[in-house]
Amino acid sequence: MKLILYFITIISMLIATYAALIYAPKETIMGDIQRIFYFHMGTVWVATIAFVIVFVASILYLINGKKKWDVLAYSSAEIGVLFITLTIITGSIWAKPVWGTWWTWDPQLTTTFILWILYIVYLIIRSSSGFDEKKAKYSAVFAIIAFIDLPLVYISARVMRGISPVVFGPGGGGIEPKMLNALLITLVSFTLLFILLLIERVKIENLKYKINKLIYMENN
Amino acid sequence: MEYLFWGHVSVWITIAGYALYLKITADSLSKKLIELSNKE
Repeated sequence: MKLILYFITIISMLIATYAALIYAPKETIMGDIQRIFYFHMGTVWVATIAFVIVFVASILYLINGKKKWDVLAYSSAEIGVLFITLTIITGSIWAKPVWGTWWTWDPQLTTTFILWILYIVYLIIRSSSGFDEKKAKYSAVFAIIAFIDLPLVYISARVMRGISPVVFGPGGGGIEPKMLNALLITLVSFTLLFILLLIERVKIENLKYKINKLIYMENN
Repeated sequence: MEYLFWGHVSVWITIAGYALYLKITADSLSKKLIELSNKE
């Protein structure tokens, strides 16, 4: 089953690359550099799903104290940080030829940067070894508070109108059908990739837990 | 074109690197778990 998922994910990622680089039409004003937008959106999408999962799993952990929710939150946060880092990197690579700078303190970029820092802090809190209930609870509370920044990233681009382009939603510029197809293909393939990475990451946490349990039993 | 190339390459390399890290870590932990279980 997992092998099938591996296969489908790799194929869909290749299709997404084709859709972004060849299938999608060239944007009139920005030219070919706009094609980064598809992978950029893919990374934003995965980071968003990951942080929503961290938020929900943290609430569930605080409600019922089940270890599986803590493991899910931690695993998802790591993937979220990886993808939000890629969001910042691809965004900067796009910004350089379009805005003439790698980075600017635009409201959306600033809130994204804060989001990145917040979840890195979360990972630092979590990085000490072993499963400690107190640490897990503090992390869950921190993750819930950190989540407040996620809607701010979306809202900041629309309310505080900086230089970040708004494509979707109220005030958005819209997108042409072929570009939309390429974007949807990218989002589907990145979602599959996220599922695969999350399964593998959760597996590692469960293995660590079993090992720690065996070591504890051996020493007592 | 150069920016476009590096934009995609950075995503592919990072994802492949992370997937490889997960695979190596999982394999090494599985091995350790088997060793500890046999010791038991």
